Order: sequence, then structure tokens, then C-alpha cells
Amino acid sequence: MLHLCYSWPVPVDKVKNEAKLLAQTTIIRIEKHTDQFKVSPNVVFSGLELIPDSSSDKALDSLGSVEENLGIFQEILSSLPVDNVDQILADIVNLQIIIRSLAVSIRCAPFKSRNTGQLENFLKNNSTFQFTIGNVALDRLQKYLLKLIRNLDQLKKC
Amino acid sequence: MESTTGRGGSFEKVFWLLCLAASLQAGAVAQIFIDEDANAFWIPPWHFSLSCNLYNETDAGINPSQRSPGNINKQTNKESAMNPHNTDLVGSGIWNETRCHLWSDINSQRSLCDDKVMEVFCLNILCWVDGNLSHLTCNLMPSSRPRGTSMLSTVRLHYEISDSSSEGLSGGHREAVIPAFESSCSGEKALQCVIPGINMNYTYTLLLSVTHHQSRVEAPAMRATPGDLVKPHPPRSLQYEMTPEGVSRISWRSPEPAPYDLQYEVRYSANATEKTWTNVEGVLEAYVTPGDLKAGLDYTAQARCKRDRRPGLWSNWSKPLYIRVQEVTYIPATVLTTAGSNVTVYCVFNNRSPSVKKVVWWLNASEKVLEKLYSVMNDHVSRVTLPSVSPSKPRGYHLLQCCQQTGETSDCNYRYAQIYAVDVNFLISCETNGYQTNMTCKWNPNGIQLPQGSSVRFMYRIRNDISCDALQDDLHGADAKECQLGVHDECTFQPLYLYFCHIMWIEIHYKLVTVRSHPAYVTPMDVVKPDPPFNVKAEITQTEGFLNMSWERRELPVYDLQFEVRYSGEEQDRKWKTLGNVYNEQALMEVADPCVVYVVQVRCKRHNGTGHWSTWSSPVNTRVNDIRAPARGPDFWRVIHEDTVTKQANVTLLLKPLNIKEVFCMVKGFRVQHQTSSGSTWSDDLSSTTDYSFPWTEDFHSVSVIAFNSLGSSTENYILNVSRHARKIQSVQSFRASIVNSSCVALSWKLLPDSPLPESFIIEWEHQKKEGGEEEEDSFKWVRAPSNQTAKYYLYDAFFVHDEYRFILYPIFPEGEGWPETFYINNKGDNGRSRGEGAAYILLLIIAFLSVVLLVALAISQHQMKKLVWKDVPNPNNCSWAQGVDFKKAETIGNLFKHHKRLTSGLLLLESERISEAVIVEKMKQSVEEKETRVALDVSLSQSHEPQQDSPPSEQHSHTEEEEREPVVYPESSGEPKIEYATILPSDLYKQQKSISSSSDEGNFSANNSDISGSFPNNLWEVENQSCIHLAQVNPQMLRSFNSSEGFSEASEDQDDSLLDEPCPERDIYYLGQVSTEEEGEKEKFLKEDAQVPCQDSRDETGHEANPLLSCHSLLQFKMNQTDLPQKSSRLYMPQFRAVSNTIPKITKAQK
Repeated sequence: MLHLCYSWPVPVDKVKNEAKLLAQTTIIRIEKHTDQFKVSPNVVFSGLELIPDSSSDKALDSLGSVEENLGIFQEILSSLPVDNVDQILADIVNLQIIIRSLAVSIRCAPFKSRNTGQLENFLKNNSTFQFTIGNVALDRLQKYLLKLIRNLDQLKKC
Repeated sequence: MESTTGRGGSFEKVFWLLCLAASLQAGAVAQIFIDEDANAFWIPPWHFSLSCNLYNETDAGINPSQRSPGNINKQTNKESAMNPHNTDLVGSGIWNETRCHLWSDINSQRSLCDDKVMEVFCLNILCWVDGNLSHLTCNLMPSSRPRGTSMLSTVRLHYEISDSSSEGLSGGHREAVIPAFESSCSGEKALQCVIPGINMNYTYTLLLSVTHHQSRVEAPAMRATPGDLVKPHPPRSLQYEMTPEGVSRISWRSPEPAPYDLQYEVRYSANATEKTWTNVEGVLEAYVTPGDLKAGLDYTAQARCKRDRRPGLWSNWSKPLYIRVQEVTYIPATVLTTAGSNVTVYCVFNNRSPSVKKVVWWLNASEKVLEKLYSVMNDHVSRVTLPSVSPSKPRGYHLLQCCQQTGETSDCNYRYAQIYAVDVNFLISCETNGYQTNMTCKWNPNGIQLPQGSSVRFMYRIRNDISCDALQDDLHGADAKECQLGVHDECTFQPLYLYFCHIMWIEIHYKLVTVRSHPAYVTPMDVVKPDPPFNVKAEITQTEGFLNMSWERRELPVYDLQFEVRYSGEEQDRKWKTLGNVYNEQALMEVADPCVVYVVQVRCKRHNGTGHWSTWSSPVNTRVNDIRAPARGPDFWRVIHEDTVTKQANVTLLLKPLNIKEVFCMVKGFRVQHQTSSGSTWSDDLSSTTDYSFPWTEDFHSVSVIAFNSLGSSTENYILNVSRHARKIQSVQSFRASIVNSSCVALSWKLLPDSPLPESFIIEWEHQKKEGGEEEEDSFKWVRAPSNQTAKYYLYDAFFVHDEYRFILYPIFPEGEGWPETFYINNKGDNGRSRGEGAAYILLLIIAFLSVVLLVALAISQHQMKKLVWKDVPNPNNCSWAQGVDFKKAETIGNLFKHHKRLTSGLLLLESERISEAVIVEKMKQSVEEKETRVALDVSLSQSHEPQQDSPPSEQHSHTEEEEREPVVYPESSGEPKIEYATILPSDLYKQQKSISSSSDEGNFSANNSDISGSFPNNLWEVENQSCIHLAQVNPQMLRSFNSSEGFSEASEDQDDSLLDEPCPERDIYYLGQVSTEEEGEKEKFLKEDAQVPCQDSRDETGHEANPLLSCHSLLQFKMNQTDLPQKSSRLYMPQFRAVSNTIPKITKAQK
């Protein structure tokens, strides 16, 4: 008689897989985001250095930075009067929690969020320009999630 | 508490102050007299100091009137007192060796007390008039340095008012009230003395008295001119803006009130923590244009003001203005305009580094603005003019950006200008109420989005001099007014000028821009919405069943009205029917069903003029009553069910629903009246309105169905007579039917010339189910046709052109039913014949044709078989398996079979599904010429054959007996089939297996032990593909076994029975052949070369005539065209071995 062998996935792997699935889901949502603001591919918006930009080749260095950046994206999207981003926001919050649980699994200290007063002030003063800021934020969030999916397995640092 | 009294003429022009010390503990009193105007101290608009020595009150307990004016150190020159550089002693009071000094230094912002050596105390004093020019306030700050400061307990201020424009006193002694909370006069707290209600044209003289314990000091007299002491309010509403030329500008508004010219001072700083102010002084305009503001930095700016070129105090600094200098600034940042207008926007690059020559403009970040539409103003300013801007939907505004072009990429700052292009075609609609006392107008915002800070106004004008028709865009008159909108943003005009023209439009204000919509011109009389008719009544007339309605109208409006009526049944999904153009206050209309409740509503509008429809009146319902007794009972027909065993019959009456007009209005129920041949009568009330059953026991039974309601029963009723022994009258000569289309069938019949005319006809029609379909009992439909119907009668129902239908025509006589006629319509083109006749006709044709083909084929193949088949039969002694076998011995066959006993048919067949090619051939005992054309292909086996079918297959079954049986003659057969089986079918698998293995080994037919040529398809009996079908004239007695061998292998005995029982004339009987896969090529060859393939055992010399072997191809194709076999032919072949036992005798016979 054959004996069936069972194996349970390691919790960390399971959590990482969930994070990747959620990030992929969010990427699809961003692509499907029916924003009425369609930007020409020849137009690049500047002056938004406060929004995390992962376009550089540098890999994500730590779970803490991921948590922090996700928090920044959440702050931006929740502050701006951009339509139809509620679910994306919920995904980001969910992803933050998953990253936090990953950090806990490797015994990282609780993450202390950085002072985002400057960002809040910027968003407060520039809410009029929600179309450009929202567009850039979603675009950069999408790229950031892509990089997160690629680098998540290598993320060992707090 | 105390009083101050002027003394004699020498003191007439002296304003003196009396300071009384109201000690917290005791409240001592002291008085000071200052007698010379020339010695008064003029209060400067900056800080000055008072330092004194206290004197002992006990030593100085004299009357204040005894003070010597000479003891006061006099100020000799007023102007010198105002000299900011005069830091000398300007005044002193000496009393019992006590001296007081007033010090003033315009340049000193710190306390002068710190610089003076004083013995008792020192006060820093600042006096000013507030920005509202209503109070003179002096702030007294005790110095903390000297030892006696803490000993100060009470300060009292007296002042005297004089009109500076005249010489005499105009006032008197007044006393300033020191706020109680400051009366402690201790510590570091400042004391504030307020003189309210000042007059800017007066001069005020003040005298201070300070008391501490038993000591007091009196200050020299101080004079104040309010106009020189004004401290204005700070500038307000500071704002930062950029000029179209790219110049930064900080502007503000002057304080109010400002009775004279002001000068300003502005300071700004880029550092929020350690401010390094940059000051701009001597500003006479209400703005500055700082040129050193840098992009990307946050600045704080403030401004203050004071009286220009005259004494006065600086105001406080204004509220800070926070400036963020953006890299790109759009002027204006927000544009509100009407759609279709041109819009001009400036773009300023504040960092000055990029060249505006490389600037491109983008609209909505997706549409590049044409280069010819923008231009360079200077090295950091670009201007664009967008022509005819489209409405900005759905975002609400257009995004306009100026970007730096680098290659193909445009680098755009995230900021943009917002262009609100409003489509101003707002629809303004008005309604005047029915009593014409007010008009309410609304406008449709049409989903516009407006910039923050904008306001919408509903404007109107009323013209009494011209009609609306003559007005052409008369909009912006001076008498335009704004309407105060109601809770629903509606504008109401009340009272109303019915024939004045009301012009209305919408204005949108944003900053200095005003956008106006197109005006609407409304005359209130043209937009009256009358009140709906009232007192609406509705009823169904008793005689005609019409819907009769009436209503009343209001007195206003007075002009003629037209009405519209709508009514509907009370069903949930209400479908209204409308009656329009009613000009009276009454309407009568025919309704489809007078016996239901109707809901009726009425509305009205102006006749021959403009106006609105009123709302619908409140719904009114009609009532339903029995109008009269039902006129006619329901039509009905019967179905008779007779039990052949018990001989009991039941009659079911099928009722047609009554036409509602015949009923009028309600039918309470139906009643069946019976009358039998025995004379008994009775009646039953029906519980069902569709059918009713009763037993039919007597020879004659007459029934009628009556409808009744509260007013009576129907008088015209149908009667049905059923009789068992009455002769049915033959009256119909012919009856035909044809399908006209999918919903109509045309029926026609012809009566016999001398037959009586029926009362009516009943037509039954029924959809004939296809094979396998379940017959539904009483699934037919029926209709009654009038008796005078001589031409075609059209029957309407859903008919499928390709299906079969049966129509039966019953003539109905007063005595009962006549002889019915039946007609079938089917899809085979044989309309006009009954199915039995048609089938027989077809069968006859098929059999005739097949017989001819069979005869020809047999004749040809018989000769060929003789020549070709016999010589190619292999000698079985050459086969390996036959070595040593004596085929002449009878038991050899049995041995051979035992040799393969362990093999199972199932496995064999599964393993070699298509092993061999086999042909079943038959032997015809009689000559071809003797065969009848009607072969018993369509013969259904009668029950008399059952015992033979059920007889178990037996090896011992006597073939002799089989031969001796009389062939059964079938009534349907036109001739007697006299065909015996010549084909030998193995009864068990051993024989088959042997045959198959022989074929496999040698690649040819084996005839060692059987005269059949191994025709056993191994798996599927696929007629379409591989079967070879032979027609045979069959002995009916053998038919069952023949059928069993056909390959209906899945059919069980029961199924066989069912097949046999089924009177299906189309059933044919076949010999079938099948080739194996391996030999498919040979098969093809076989089919092509036709007669080259032997189909019988060459050794069967005695019992087998070489039957002509027909071409499988040709015969197969023929059969497929004629019959419908696919389902049966696809059944598994294997189980047929269980049913072929009847052929065993034949085998024996053949082997003989």
C-alpha cells in the first residue's frame, strides 16, 4: 500500500506567495483603473519627488522600506480626490499588513513610520492637481509592486 | 472717592491731573497741581519714562492747593519735547524734596529706566490712539530694577480735555478708570490707562499720581494730541501673485479707517525657523514686487503701516502670508468661460533656467497644442490662446500645461491651469399654477462643474413694454435682478403679471469673470399648468357595456381646455389606453372587457394655445356587476374512454372558455344536465371550468352545459348526445387539409349529395408524435365549425411544417355524431392520404424496386460465383491448425470447437475489433422468378410467432422440423414468401471463433466447419461504413432468427419483442458484412471487384447454390436511401450470438 506524503508550506513562503498574488491583483486593478485622465506617452510629469519612484535599478533593500513606501502610496491615494481607488487602497493596506507579518517572522522590530508632514502638506496644498498627482502615484505604485514581486524572495533585511 | 477742583484764574488753562492713591490697604488721597501750560510735557508717539522720588505723606500732609507752581520743573518748548533727540530732563515735580523726571528718546526701544539712576521708582510709558480712533491708551510698565518698585500700590490718572482749536476749556476734569485687575500695581505687570471716546480735534492733559503706603508722587502734566498718537490697524488681505510678465507681487489692502496717507513696510523671509527678514521700507503703494523670490522655497511675508510724513505709531505686523514659489505658474490658474470662447493663459517659469523657446503646450496631457497658438513673451514667459474651447466634460475642466520639450518627451510640471468651459445652454422652464397667481421657474444645471469660489445667480428682468415675441436677446438691462431661489433652487414670481415678458438667465461669477447663459423669454399666460379635472366618475353602462366617464373642470384658467382620458385594468403591469382630444367633460368608449374593474384618470390643457398638461386626476375605479344572465352556455366536446375489459365507459367533457360578451358579466358557475335513455335526468354543478367526466352506462346519454350567475341561467346551450347502438350517418364525402403556414391550416370537406346537413362540425387535430415520443392522451385540440361551411375552413394554431398532424372531422347532427373522416398531414409529401395508405404505397414501391434489383443481382452473381469462388477456396488441409484433422469425420468439428473453448467471445471481440471481412450469403430455395415483390420486410411478426421466437436455441433442433413448418402467410404480403435460410449462422462463439481464426491465419475464408463465410463483424455493426446488405426473401417463420442475426446486438429479448411487435412496414432484413481494419484495402478491392470475392463455402457442394453476391457498395447505398437505419445498425454486434439459434438447423442442413 502506498503511503501518501503530506507537506505543509512553510508559513513564510505562504505569506510571500500571498503578497505576490495581492501585488499582482493590485497591478491588474491599476491597469484597469478607469481613469478619465489619459496621458500621452510623450508627457512626463515632474515636481513629484515626494512620491516613491522605483524606476532605478536598485533593488528593494528592506521590508521596512517596503512598508514605509506602501504607507506613502496609501497616504497619497487616500488624500487625493481620485475616483475609484478604494479597492486599490484596500489592497495596499492589506499588502502592508502582509509585509509586516513577514517582518515579524524574521524578528524585525516594529516599523516606526517616518514623519510625513511634508508629504501631507504637499498633498493638502496641491489637491487641485489630483489628476497629475494621482496618475503619477498610480503609475509609480504599479512599478513598485512589480519590483516587489521580483525582489520579495530576496528581501531578508528588516 | 475724591474730587478735583480748579483754582482761580491763573489756573484756567491748566489741565491738571489728580492722582489719588487708593491703597489696597488704606486708600490715601493726594493731589498735584500743575499750573502752567507752557511747562506741559507733550507725549511722543514712542516710549518715554517717568522716574520719581517718593515723599513721606506725613511730612507732606498739606493741602494740594498749597503746592507752588514754581516748584514744577517746566517744559519750556513743546517742539523740543517732540524732538526725538531730546534726552534731557523734560519735566519734574518737586514736593518736599521729591523730584519726578520725564525722559523721552525716540531711538531707544528699551526702557529708559534702565539708564537712569532713580531713587524710588520708574515707569516706562507708551500712549497711542487705536486703529478705530476711539481710545487713547497709555501703557505703564513699572521697572523692576529699583528697590521701590514692588512698593507701588496704586496709580491714578486724571485728564482734562480742551479743544485745540479754541482757547477755553471745553471739558472738565475727568478721571480715567484703571481696570480693576490692574489695580494691584505690583510686579512686572503693565498698567494700562484707557481714555475712551476721544475726539481727534481735542487736546488731552494727563497727570499721574502714584501712591505707595504712606508715600505718593505726582508726575508733571503730560499733554497728548490724538492725531499724533494713532497706531493704525495692520494691512490686511495680503496675497501673492504673479503678473503676466512674470513678476512676483505681494499686495494687500489698507486698514480701515485710514484718515490720512499711510506708508508701509514689508518684510519677508525664506527661512521658517531662523527668519532673516528682508525689509522693504517706505512703501507708499499697497504692493511690492520682490524680485529675489526663488522657485521651490517657502516664504513668509508681513506688512505694517503708519502715518506718512507725520508723527504716529507703526501698526502691528499683519498676519503672515505664506508663499510657495512654484516652478511653473499659470496666469490665470483657473479660467471660467463659456464653451466656444477663446482662452488665453500665460505660463511663467520661475526658476528661469529653462528657455521658453523650447516650451510646448499640452491640453489634458494628451493633446498637443498647435505651435502657432502660443508665443514667447520674454525669457521665462509663454502665452497660449486656445480658440473655441469645447465644453469641459466629464472632468469638469480642461487641463492646460506648458512643458519643456526635450526630444520627443515633454517634461511637464504636475501643476496645470484649469479651464472651465461651461456650456451655457441651460434649459429654463416655467410653470404658472392653475389659479395663475404665481409662476415657478427652474433651470437645469446640466451637470456643470464650477471652480471653487464661484457663485451662480438666477437673474431676471420683467418687461412691460414689449411682448416676448419681439425681444431679441435683450438681456443685460440695468434693471436686472437676482431671484432668491427656493429650497429646490426654483425661482418663484408672485404676484404675477400674466402678460408681461419675463426674461431669465443664469449668471456664474468667478472672481472678476461673469458667464451668462442664453436668456429665456416667458409669458406667464403661456405656461399655465391647469389643475387636473375633479369629481371624476366612471362606470360601465348596463346596456352596451361601454365605459362612461365624466368629470368637472376648475374655473381657472378661463380659456377652453382639452382633455385626455386614460384607463387600464387593475392588473399589476398596468397598460394604459388613452383617449385624447376630448373637448367635453364626458367620454364614452367601448372596452374590450366590460366585466373587469377599470382605473380611469383625466387630465387637461389649454385648447388652441400653449400651456402645460395638468397632472392626472386621482384614479377612479369602475365597479363590476352582473348585468344580465349569461346568454349562452359554454361550447364543449367529448372524449370517450372505454375499458375493453370491464366494458365501462367514461365520457369527459372538454369546455371552451366563454366569450366574455356572451357572459355579461360574471358567471357564477357551470351546470351539466344529464338525460339518459331510461328517462332519468339530473344535473351536476361543475367544480372545474375546463373539463368534466361522468360514466356512460346506458345506451343513450344526452348532456348539456349551462352557465349561470346571480341573474339566471343561459338559455342557449350546446347538447351532446352519445349512443352506443345508433347508426352513424355518413355525410362527408371527402375531407382534406393542407398547411398554409406555421400558424394556419386550411381544411375543406365535401358532403355527400343526399346526406342531411349537419348542425355543425367538430374538428379535432392532433400533433402526431415521432417515434419514441410518448403519446399524450387527449392531447388533441378541437374547434366547432359552422355547418354552412362549404368552402375552406382555416384553422389557426402553431403548426410545424415538417411534423405530422391528424385531423378528424365530426359532423354533428341533432341526433348525435355522424361518421367522422380523418386526414393526415405529414412531412413526406403524401398529404391527402391517411398514414396507413401512404405507408403501404411506399412499401409497395420499395419492395418492387428492391425485388428488381435483387433479381438482377442474383442472376449476375450466381454465374460469377460459380466460376470464381469455388476455385479459390483454400484447402483447409494446408492450414497449420488443420494438420492431422480429418474433416470428413463428424466429430472433428466438435474437437475443433473444444480447442477454443477457453476463449471468450468478449475478449476476442475486444482484442480484434475488426478482424475479418465476412459476408453472409443466403440460399434461395426457389427461383428468383418465384419471389414476390413484396418481401416480408415490413411484416411485423404476429403474436403467433412468439413461441417460436422464445424457443431456446438448440443444437439438437431438428432442421427437418424446420423444413416441414408451414410458412406463415402475412395478410399484408401480396405474395407468399417461400424463402428458406441458406445462410448458416453459427449459434455459438466457438464456431465463430474458429471461423475468425481461420480467416486470420490464412487471409481467406474458411469453410471447414461452416458453410457461412465467417461473416461476424467484431464490434460495431456500422451499416454506413462497412456492412454489406443483402435483401432476402424470408420465410416468415425464420424472420425472427433472421432479425436476431442482423446485429441489433443490444436488443434484449424484450427489445426484440418490441421491435417485432411494432407494426413498422419499413423494417428490412439484411445480410451484413464487415471488414477488418487490416483488410480494409482488400475490402476496397472486394467492393470494386465485386464478384471476385467468394461469399460462401466452396465445399458446400450439396446444400449451397452459389448465390449471386451483390455489390456491397451499391446495395448499401440503395438501402440507405430508402430506409432509416443508423441507430439500429450502430449497435454492438456481439450479443447477436445469443439469438441466432434458430439458424442452427440450417447449419446442419447445409453441412449435409
